[in-house]
Amino acid sequence: MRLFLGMCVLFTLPIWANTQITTQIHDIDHGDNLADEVLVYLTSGKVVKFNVNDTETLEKLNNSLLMKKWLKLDISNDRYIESAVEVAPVLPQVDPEKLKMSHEKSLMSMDPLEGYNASVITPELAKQAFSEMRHPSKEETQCFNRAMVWTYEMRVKHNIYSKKIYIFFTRNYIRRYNFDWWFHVSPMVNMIVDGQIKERTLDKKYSSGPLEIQKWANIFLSDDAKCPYVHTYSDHASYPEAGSCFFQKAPMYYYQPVDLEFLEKFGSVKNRWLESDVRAAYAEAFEIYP
Amino acid sequence: MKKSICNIVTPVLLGATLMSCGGGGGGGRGNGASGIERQVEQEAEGSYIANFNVINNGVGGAVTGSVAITKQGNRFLAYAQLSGGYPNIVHQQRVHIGTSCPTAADDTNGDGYIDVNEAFSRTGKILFPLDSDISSQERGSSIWPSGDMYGNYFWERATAYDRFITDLREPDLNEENDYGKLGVEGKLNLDGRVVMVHGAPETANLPDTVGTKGRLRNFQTIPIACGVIRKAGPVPGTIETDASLGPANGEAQGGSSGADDGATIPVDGQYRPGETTGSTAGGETAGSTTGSNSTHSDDNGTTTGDGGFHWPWERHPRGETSGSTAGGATSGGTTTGGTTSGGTTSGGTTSGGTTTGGNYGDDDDTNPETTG
Repeated sequence: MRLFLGMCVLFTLPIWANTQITTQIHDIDHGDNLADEVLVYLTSGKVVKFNVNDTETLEKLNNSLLMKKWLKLDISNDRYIESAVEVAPVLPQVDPEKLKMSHEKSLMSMDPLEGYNASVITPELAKQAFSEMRHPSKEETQCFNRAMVWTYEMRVKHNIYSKKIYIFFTRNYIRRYNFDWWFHVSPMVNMIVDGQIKERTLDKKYSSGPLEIQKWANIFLSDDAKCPYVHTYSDHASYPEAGSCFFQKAPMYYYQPVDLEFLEKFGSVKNRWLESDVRAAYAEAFEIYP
Repeated sequence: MKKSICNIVTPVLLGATLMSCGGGGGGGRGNGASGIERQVEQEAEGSYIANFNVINNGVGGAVTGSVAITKQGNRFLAYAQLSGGYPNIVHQQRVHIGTSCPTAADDTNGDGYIDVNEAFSRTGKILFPLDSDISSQERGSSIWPSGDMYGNYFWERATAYDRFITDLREPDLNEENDYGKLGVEGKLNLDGRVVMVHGAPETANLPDTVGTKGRLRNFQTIPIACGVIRKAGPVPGTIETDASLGPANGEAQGGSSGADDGATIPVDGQYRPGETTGSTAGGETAGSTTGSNSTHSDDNGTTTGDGGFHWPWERHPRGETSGSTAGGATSGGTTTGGTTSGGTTSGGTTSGGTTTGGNYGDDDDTNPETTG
């Protein structure tokens, strides 16, 4: 009997096992009042929760937010941060001085797609590219890392200049549906459909082939909302309570939402592959370390 | 009739709207300073945005940003984002009773700076601070957002609207301080009110003529940005329903973002140096056939390689590689050796190897030159 119970505990341990994630803090949503949960937005895209009584961990979160420190978080199954340990940066930090210089030169908001000439491909090539997409090496991987590797390999294998589509969920939506992501990103291609050029997502984790954008979004939306397309980061960042979601498109070289933010704030354009982005993406999503 | 309806409807709608059947005067006590006029009642429900304009010649940085305030039922939320400031600077931020931002004309001592006292004479008293607790004017008053290492911050707080408005309608027990109250029946009337942000680095080296408040130093309180709150218009963006980007003209095309974006093939055990196994199947590839970890292709349609793995940031000598094109179409480019089967090859040069089936043609529809 004891052996049986022990086996039960052993086999059910993974159910209660926490998730560990190494990330930075994007933002902290303190909620309406003290009774509300504090939501922590991770740069990985996840939204997790936090107990405000843990002042030591709160200080680490705030420090990470201000100083862009990397943290290894222990997250429970019900998405609560149980511990936070500061770790070495996973990605190199952008030199603030360099950003400041470019900011002084250009304050104009920019559409990341401006000047980008994406490929137009046939449905056959789209399906082939989709079928060749790598499967992530583990269950929990970051969407922006998968998208980075997939678009990179479409480029080198098939010379496809693809795009990425970001869906940003509003705070309104996140609280309303207790949603656990604040953004998601997928590769997107221009595909010939009935003689017209149309955009299709290629998100191997959540679909079985090229998808219309709204159908792809509906995978994540509980209310089937129609997400407006915006061209700049602030267009949706300034409306955190409006509707459920926003779309923003970018060339394949863009990595995380911070790239879109820096484009607008500092004029930092991404028009080629960045070593650190590609390396980090392969490492995290596919455990490849060339 | 109207009054009896109000007695029923108003309690129900109080959480959803500020429209009172009893009418009422303008909100805000004002302080008699110029630019403070609150004569029009407004509904508070909805979203409001104030975009920042730099003041004081960018002493706090070439800042951009905005404050967004939303009232949804009994939820009252405020967001602020600022970028372009200096790292790790604490920024006091407040909504004022007044309706206009300070200008150079408000620099009453002519020292070239609009200090906090001069600014307040324009903006009027503080209506509510955007600090750590927006449910009360007084609570949370010492805790402000701080710019991160890039000089940016995103701040947000929420509260219950009834708690928030109750605090603003309490009697003003200290008329000497910087805070103003709305009065018992005062209206929030956000549209037209002013948001001001303060805080510059100590290295701004402000002269002693720049005044300050309390025990803070002048660089901590100097205004750096101001914006007038406006009722938010339609949410930006367009709704598209699988919109067409244009006719395909019957052909697929390779895109190009410019010369050499640094793409190459990673090592993953599938490719050996010197061997090209890349293929084009279906569709068309304009410009290049890519393969193996030893190849590098650019937008001019040349497949190059030197037998070793290279990351995008590494330079490597151009060469040629063997490869294959199966099906589909390859326009331009160079394929040396390997196999081309099926599909269409137009233009370009194929050297050696085997060419089978398909259609081959250059501009005049004759077979491409094959040497081997």
